[in-house]
Amino acid sequence: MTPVPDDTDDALVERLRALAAAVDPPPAHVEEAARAAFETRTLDHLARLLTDSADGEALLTRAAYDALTGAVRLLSFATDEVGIDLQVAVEGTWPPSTACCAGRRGR
Amino acid sequence: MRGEGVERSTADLLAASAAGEQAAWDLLVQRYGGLVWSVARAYRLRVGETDDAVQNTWLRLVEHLTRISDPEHLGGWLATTARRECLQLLRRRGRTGYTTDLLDDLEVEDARPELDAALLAGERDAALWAAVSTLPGRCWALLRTLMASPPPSYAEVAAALDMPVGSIGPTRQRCLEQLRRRVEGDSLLDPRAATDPRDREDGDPRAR
Repeated sequence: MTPVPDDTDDALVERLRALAAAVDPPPAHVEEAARAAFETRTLDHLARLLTDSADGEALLTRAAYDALTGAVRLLSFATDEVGIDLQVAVEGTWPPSTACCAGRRGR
Repeated sequence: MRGEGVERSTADLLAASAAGEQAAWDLLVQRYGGLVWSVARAYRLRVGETDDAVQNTWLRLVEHLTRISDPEHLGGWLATTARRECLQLLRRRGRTGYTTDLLDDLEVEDARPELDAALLAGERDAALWAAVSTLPGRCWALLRTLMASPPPSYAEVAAALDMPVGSIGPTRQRCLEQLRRRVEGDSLLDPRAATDPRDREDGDPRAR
């Protein structure tokens, strides 16, 4: 026999919803990241390479220093809205075994 | 209704977002952010994983802004996408064997709500939250999704959990009954007790 929901069930769900809103709401940083996700829609077309540590520039940085040995390469891309720093660590042969990426707003 | 901007339809917000209007996108995030978050929390992901599932869901929407075929059912699309992102994260943990029974196998220890229980106004609220947090996976997933603000439609819940719409009502009732049995003998479910503890001291003889 199919149970029939009643007002008591609805009231309990509403109470649980109020508890969740107090205890477990979407964190502010998650909401901010969701809003910022919009800026990625044109990233493929507009991001451009600003610097490449393999070019031998910025020799004082650790990434650039390692790039001289072929171990790490630092690439910086930017649009008018978003900057992306990509660090690629090469272990042995291509493709690289690890890569990490950091994003930032503005240039 | 879902927050500010209710005068603008979801179809309008999607079209405006596709045209590059950040404000329209922000309204979509505001309108559906609670749903996406609740779906991710329903799957008892670890802390960082929950954030990733939510963010990946929004990134998928960015990619599909011009390809949402039924804008007025965007909530269902987001719920489905969030579910898939959660499943992908669970699979990365090596839990590839889970398919239709996944909800039954979600681990209670992955939940974190008890960590925030101190935010609740009264001990009864905290105890009720602790009770619901330790429900078996399927019941937790259903109730946590239903806890989304604003309240989700059953179609959105069905999409979030890959359940038939028709089974949600009966399952909800069984899960609530299970919750009641867990707190049976306590006064947790008395709505009058879910307020400030100072009120209880004045009006509830059980507290004296």
